[in-house]
Amino acid sequence: MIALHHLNKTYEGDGRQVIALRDINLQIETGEVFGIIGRSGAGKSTLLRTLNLLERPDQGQVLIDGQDATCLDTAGLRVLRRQVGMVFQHFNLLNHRSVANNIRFPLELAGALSKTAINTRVDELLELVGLHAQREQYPSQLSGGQKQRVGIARALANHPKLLLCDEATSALDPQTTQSILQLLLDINRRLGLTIVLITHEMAVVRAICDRVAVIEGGQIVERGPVADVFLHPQHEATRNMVAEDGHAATLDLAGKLGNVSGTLLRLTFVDATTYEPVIAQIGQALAAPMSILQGSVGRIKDRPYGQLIVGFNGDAELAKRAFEERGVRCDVVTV
Amino acid sequence: MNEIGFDWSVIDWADIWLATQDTLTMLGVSLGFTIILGLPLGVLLYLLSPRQLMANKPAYSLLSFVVNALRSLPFVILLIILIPVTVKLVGTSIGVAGAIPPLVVGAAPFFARLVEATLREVDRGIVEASQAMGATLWQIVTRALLPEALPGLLAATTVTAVTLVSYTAMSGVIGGGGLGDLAIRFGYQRFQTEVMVVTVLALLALVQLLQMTGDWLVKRATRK
Repeated sequence: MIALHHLNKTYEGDGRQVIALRDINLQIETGEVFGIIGRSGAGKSTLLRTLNLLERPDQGQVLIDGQDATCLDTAGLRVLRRQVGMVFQHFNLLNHRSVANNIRFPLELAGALSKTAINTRVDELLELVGLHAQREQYPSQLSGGQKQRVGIARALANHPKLLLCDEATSALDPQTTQSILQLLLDINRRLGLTIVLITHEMAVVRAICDRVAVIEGGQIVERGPVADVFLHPQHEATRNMVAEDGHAATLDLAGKLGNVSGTLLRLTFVDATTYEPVIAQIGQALAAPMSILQGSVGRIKDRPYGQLIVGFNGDAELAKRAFEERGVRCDVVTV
Repeated sequence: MNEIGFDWSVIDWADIWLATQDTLTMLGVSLGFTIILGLPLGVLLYLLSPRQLMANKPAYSLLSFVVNALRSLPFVILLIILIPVTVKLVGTSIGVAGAIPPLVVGAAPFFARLVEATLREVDRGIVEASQAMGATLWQIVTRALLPEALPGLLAATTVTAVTLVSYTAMSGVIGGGGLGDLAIRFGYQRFQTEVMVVTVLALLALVQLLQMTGDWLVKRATRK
């Protein structure tokens, strides 16, 4: 488990101060995939780097399994870093080393294994990321997705308990992004590895994260299970990011709904209720038909969800109660 | 002497051969020491420079000043002012041995700057990744930075070797011998144009050979 307490970090450059982190408090549970989402310059990269002390916070504690990493000396820090894997946006592979030798690199640095043990481990990792055929190739001969697979294999070499992903899919095309995200999810499940990732894309969070924190101006402005944050964003920064993602029924309909009479309701279904004919049943029961104006259905990680905006002519309070009895969240939308 | 002007019989080929050997010796030994001294100096300059692993502004400024000072001295002057140091180091201030310390002092700061610039070209992400993997400073330098920069370092070595060839030509001032010295003493001062032609051709061939070898090594080492 990771706990961040009151992290602050200020950069000084050219005579002006830039606050990168402002009183960050965060708890990340063992085995979860935790997303940190924010725009560029929001501080997410700095925040991620405090977890392995590549960035040293000015104040605050970084507790990893109860141990404060900010108190470690250089040697202690190296030991910690060997237990924390890191994957980078631009892969950061060593160009002079083949695929197998890139994966071997952290094992050589650690110096704990014999040559044969290292070779065995490298074979396992090549297997895990599906790059056996490329083992003798050099990074320049690989596609972006293959490079990131090498990056992931390298990060896992020393059996880390925590994997940090710095925009790991931002340099990849959408299809490759999906395959890398699936690989990360697979690793998370099979190895029980905790993953902390930063991204500016809601789609990445939706695909693999359990919980998410939204960072804006060096502060965490919203946090919670992905479904909650995604379907009911509270902070403006979150709402904007959800809207850009285009996969939630966000209401940007002001002015476009001039001829819709009645009340607008936002209905949110998750899990099993997604599959039930709730709208038809309640419409019938209240003898007031509903018209679907906007909506989306999909999956958040593996939870099905649906979010609809419906026009309703009838008693909104009654409808709200009826929906909530059926496990569907219902909010009255004001345009 | 025929009418076209060249009488090749005036050339003492044994002298030419001896001079070639002297040049090669001076080049080889001074290039070796230049790398031994210049490489760590270049790495240190890189590490001390702003935003790098050992960033230290006063230390960097000081080292940088010393390197600049050595580089700003013309080699001929360096040859002369280093005489006391040379005598201490190699026991003589003349001949091939006497030429080597000034050659190294002249070339090492130059090489160090090239090393510094080459290391700067290495992607910072690679340093960061190595740090994240728990590498020590020594491991980062020897296993990530230097191997990644190898093609550039080989190119820098080639440039330095060629520069050293032209420096050796001046070693005649202190009786250092070599092809350049021969060209000046016989070709210029005794009007033996033939000697001039032969030595210039020999130097040309040497520089070409160095450059071709360097290019070939760079190409072999490049994985990009």
